[in-house]
Amino acid sequence: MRILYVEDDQEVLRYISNGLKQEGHNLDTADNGKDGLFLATTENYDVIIVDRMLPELDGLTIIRTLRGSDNHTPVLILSALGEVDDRVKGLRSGGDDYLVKPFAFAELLARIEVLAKRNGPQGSQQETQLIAQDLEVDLLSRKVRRGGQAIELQSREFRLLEYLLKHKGQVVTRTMLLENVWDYHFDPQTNVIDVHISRLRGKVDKDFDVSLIKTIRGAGYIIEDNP
Amino acid sequence: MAILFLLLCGTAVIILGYFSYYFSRGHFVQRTEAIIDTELSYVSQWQDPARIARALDRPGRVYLLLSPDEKKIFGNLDKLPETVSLLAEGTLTFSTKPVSGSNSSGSNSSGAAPSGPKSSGSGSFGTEKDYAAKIYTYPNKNRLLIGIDITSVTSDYKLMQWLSFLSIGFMVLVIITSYLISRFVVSNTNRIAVTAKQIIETGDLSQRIELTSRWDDLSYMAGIINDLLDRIQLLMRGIRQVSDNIAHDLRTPLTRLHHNLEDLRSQDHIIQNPQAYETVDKLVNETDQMQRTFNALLRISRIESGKQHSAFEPLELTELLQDVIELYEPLMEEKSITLKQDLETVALQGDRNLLFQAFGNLMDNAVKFTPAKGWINLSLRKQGAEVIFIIEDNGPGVPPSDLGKIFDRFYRAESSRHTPGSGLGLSLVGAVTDLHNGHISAENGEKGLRLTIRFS
Repeated sequence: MRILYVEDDQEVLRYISNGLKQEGHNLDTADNGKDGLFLATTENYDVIIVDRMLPELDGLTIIRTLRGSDNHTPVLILSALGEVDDRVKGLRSGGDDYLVKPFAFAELLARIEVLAKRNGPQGSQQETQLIAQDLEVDLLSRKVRRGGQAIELQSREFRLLEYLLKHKGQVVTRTMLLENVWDYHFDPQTNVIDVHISRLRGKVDKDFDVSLIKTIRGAGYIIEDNP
Repeated sequence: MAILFLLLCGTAVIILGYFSYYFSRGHFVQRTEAIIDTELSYVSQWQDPARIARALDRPGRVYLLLSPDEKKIFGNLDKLPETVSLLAEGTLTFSTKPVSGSNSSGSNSSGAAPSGPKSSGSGSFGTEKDYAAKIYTYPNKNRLLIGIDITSVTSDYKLMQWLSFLSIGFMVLVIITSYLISRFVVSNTNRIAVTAKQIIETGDLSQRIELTSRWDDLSYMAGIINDLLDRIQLLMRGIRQVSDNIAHDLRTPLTRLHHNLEDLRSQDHIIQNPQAYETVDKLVNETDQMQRTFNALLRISRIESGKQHSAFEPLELTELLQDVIELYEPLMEEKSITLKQDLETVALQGDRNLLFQAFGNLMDNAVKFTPAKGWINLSLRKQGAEVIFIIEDNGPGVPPSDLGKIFDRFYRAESSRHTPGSGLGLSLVGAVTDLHNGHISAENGEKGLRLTIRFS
């Protein structure tokens, strides 16, 4: 994946760059807004990561300029401000996702992978059926079957499974689940999400030899397409 | 206030005026009457006009003896004065110019007749003077008038009367002035109060009290309050600056530390050594916890100082609460906690993410402290213009002495020291409630803690 990362903090820049390169991504970096905007407009990227506060040109201006010139590359905003207000402002200016510093690398990785997929060729078309291994979910009739066996799910469990399946093969973090399945941006003080996942597991994985929903330590959950 | 003051002052003035009038007049009348009565009692014994005349021919006296047919027998007055007025019962008062000199002859005549003092007086030497007089009728129907010069007394009396009127007028002036002043004061203090209230409600410290003049004390005070606001604004900016600096200066190294530890954890030689891995993993979690506390703290101070309403939108509080309940439902199920809920449909202007966080924190607390097989009660209802939310659990509650402290930062009850948490959850709830014009209070309910939030 081709990624542009604009960040003025050299330490964070080096750390994230190393991490992304280790993951096998092709990375360009810039340490100020001007260079960042230049790269963003002249090259093609799958995802752009932009720090909000940058010398020369701030992150939101970069995004607005890109969107103004009809460039719809997914953008993830990094910010140290971390207020709901800032988040709203960031997303309004055309950002696709917003992550507050400090963050875990796994969180960033999970989010950019989802972002890149969203803009990919298959992301835009509406799916009516989600399949992973022997699990089938019909989004229209809201029926879930595994190995031909019907599974009854409550509506929140269904949405949880739906989100995991839509991003099958990708790690989904707890915060992503909260933001997308519950539609609230907040910081749970306890492991509520884990409890919901374990309930879902109780219904989807319990009677089967292979467990579909896997925990990725320090990151989140994943449903793999192939066992 | 002003009207009450006006009434009180007015009453005081009327009473004062009446008393000064009444006393000065009464006293003077009694004295004059006493003098004339004494002289009359002597003179009425005597028959000899010469003796009477001699006795009465003193400065400041007028006298006139009249026969029954109104003829002057003797006296220093020629006739009874034409215009008289009644000073008191039996005493007359008049002004006249006495005839110079004056012993005209006259015989006293005696005649039997019932007598009663009657009076009338007059007298003068050149200039007109005031007299108080009484008239005595002899048994022979001759009538004797004795008068005393009361010019000085009446002029005093008039002066006094004039002074009373003056003081009444003055008091009225005082009342009008104080009414105007009090109106001025009230309108100005109200203006100060309105501005202060607006600042408290909106959190907009840039507002100032409008100064209309420079000379009065209230404007001076308003000026000082404005200076005070300048200073508070400066300090607030300072606080925000400090927290922003903390955010920037401390968060970044903390992030690096976290990143480096994560980095270390992913290195092969650490992964291959389970003991080292566990230690590094613990450190990662530790820094993670530090970051969380840090974020929560910054978030609270932001909410408290910012009073930002830009993320406010109309929302169904009931739906939001249902979502919170739904999120925590599996946790309650794990502990077999019974949830009783009584939620009315209530709409509110608010920040949904912050409200979710706040109610989430409350729910989280309740679930944490309620024992297995316990219960949690939730109620949301409208009472007039107020929206009242109550959450009650049957946990251990909070010692009464600590009830006021539970919204303080880092407060943790003795009994909960060993449970996980930062002690910032309820502070955040307090800040969010404040932001939404609400008020949160805590009390010990039937069994555990009961928290009530009132949104007005």
